[in-house]
Amino acid sequence: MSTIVKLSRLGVGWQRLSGNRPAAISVLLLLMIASAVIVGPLLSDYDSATTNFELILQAPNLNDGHWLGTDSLGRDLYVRVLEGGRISLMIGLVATLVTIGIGVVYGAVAGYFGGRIDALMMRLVDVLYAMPFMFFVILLMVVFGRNLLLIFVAIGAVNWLDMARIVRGQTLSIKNQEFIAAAKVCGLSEWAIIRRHIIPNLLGVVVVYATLTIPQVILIESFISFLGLGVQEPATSWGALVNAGMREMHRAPWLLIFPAVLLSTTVLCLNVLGDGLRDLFDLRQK
Amino acid sequence: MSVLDVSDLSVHYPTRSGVLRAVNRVSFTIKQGTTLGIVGESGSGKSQLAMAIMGLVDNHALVSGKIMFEEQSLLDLGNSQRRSINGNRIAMVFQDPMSSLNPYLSIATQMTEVLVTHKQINYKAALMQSIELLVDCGIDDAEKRINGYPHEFSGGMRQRILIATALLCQPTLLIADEPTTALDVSMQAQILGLLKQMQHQHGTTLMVITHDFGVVTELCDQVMVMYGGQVMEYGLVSAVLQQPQHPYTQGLLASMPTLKKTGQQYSLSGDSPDPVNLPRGCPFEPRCSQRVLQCKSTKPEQVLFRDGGQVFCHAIATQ
Repeated sequence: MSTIVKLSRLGVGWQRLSGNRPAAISVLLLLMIASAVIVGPLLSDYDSATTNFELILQAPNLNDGHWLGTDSLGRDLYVRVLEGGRISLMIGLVATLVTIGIGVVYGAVAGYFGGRIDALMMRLVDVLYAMPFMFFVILLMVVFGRNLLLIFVAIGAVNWLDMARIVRGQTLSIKNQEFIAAAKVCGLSEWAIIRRHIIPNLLGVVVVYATLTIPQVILIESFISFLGLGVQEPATSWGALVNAGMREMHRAPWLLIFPAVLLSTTVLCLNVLGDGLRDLFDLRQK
Repeated sequence: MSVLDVSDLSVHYPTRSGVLRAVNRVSFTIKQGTTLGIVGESGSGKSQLAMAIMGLVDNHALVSGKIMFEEQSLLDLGNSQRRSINGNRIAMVFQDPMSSLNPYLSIATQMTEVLVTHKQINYKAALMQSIELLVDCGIDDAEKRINGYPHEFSGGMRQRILIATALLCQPTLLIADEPTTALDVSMQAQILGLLKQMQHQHGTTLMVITHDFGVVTELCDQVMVMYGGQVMEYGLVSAVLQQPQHPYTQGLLASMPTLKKTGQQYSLSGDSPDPVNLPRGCPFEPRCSQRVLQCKSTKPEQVLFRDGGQVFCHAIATQ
């Protein structure tokens, strides 16, 4: 027994995750996409905004530097796809963090206190649920203005409803477990019990749901952009690129294929990773 | 000096089908350094009694009577005052060691948070004290194992950890709610031994809830037998177990399985009473073999014995 080397918690986590092949591959792919999105644009001679009307709808060509071709305004697709990825991934991450932040605390508080507080808080969620979702986002955009960061927050602020419901349900079952009674008996305050005993136990569910939220948010963003309220030209995102590519599908299929492949690969990897993480966080399965 | 003095304690829950009477006018005292055992079948209100003492009954429960802990009336305290007593001066060990520890936090985290909450000491000092207590409670290699998670420990080990956690702040009173029920027999003996040893070392007053008379003989000085939320018999362990007065105590003792006995196992006939529709008189009346006329209509009064024992029974009162 003494030969067993004590690994760090992260080390143990990676070891167990890498045992799950699809999840490990997803992590690597996501890391590759993330680093490409950050470093990639620097490697090209072009930028994402310069138009060139002599080189409209060029097919991918490794010799002239337009590695993935050009769009209908002659802009370099390679740079545009990667810079669009920056925005899509960032929106996914920030909006998901906002979703987790609001949803987890709200749901845990409602579930833990129960009774009248719970009823009141969850009815508010129901009311918000009944609001037309897009209308709500658009309203927020109008109030907040066209700030990119505020787009993230606006999406997150609408998206937390599902998270709150899931977390509340989970909290209801956790709070009746004996270790919560044991924590009360130890004289911990209610906030300490929620923070230290309820929320860590929600981690598995939250992580899985978060990995499903990121792609969902990326898709919402592309829809908002399509309506002309999201990312504004010349800045772009995967959603906006797919929309643009769709219009030129017959003449220049690469405009659709490259952003679509990147978008769907990311979404797929996040889903597979979420599955792997759920197994990882379920300590009792060990 | 008495550490805990409970008088006329009732815990009632208003429900849609009527008032659920979980605990009815229970009175007892525990003296410093002694052990009281509370015995009764499931639903006799013994766990509710413990919860009332810990201040953890549901918000909508009606609790009446008096609970004096070291000259302090527990029922009159506010939430934050209550919390400063729980885990600090009154601690509790639960029945199921498997579910009483948070699976996501290390033992170190769960133990130190109790000390940090109550004693205003830093994490490092709290960790040292926790390790010391784990060693005292028989966890080998505590310095390393304290960083482990609950699933890495066996049931017996976890119960030791829970007892160590309960004793961290040197509580005056330790309530153990069926501390050995979830363990196998050889483990039970060890845990009982540990409780005894810790009581001896720290002078802790113990209140043990159980349905096992073996635990009572092993651990307790006094025993209180409950049925239908009421006290049936209360007295010194030696007196109650050797010469049980109340028909219910007699029945309970007779239905204990032994290795020697052959033939049909004795059991009390009938079911335990519905706490929403408790009989007007003695709750045990429908199952009692010695019932008299008053049993159905009036609650039995306390009958005092010379050794301080109490029995609540009409049949004995009329003798």
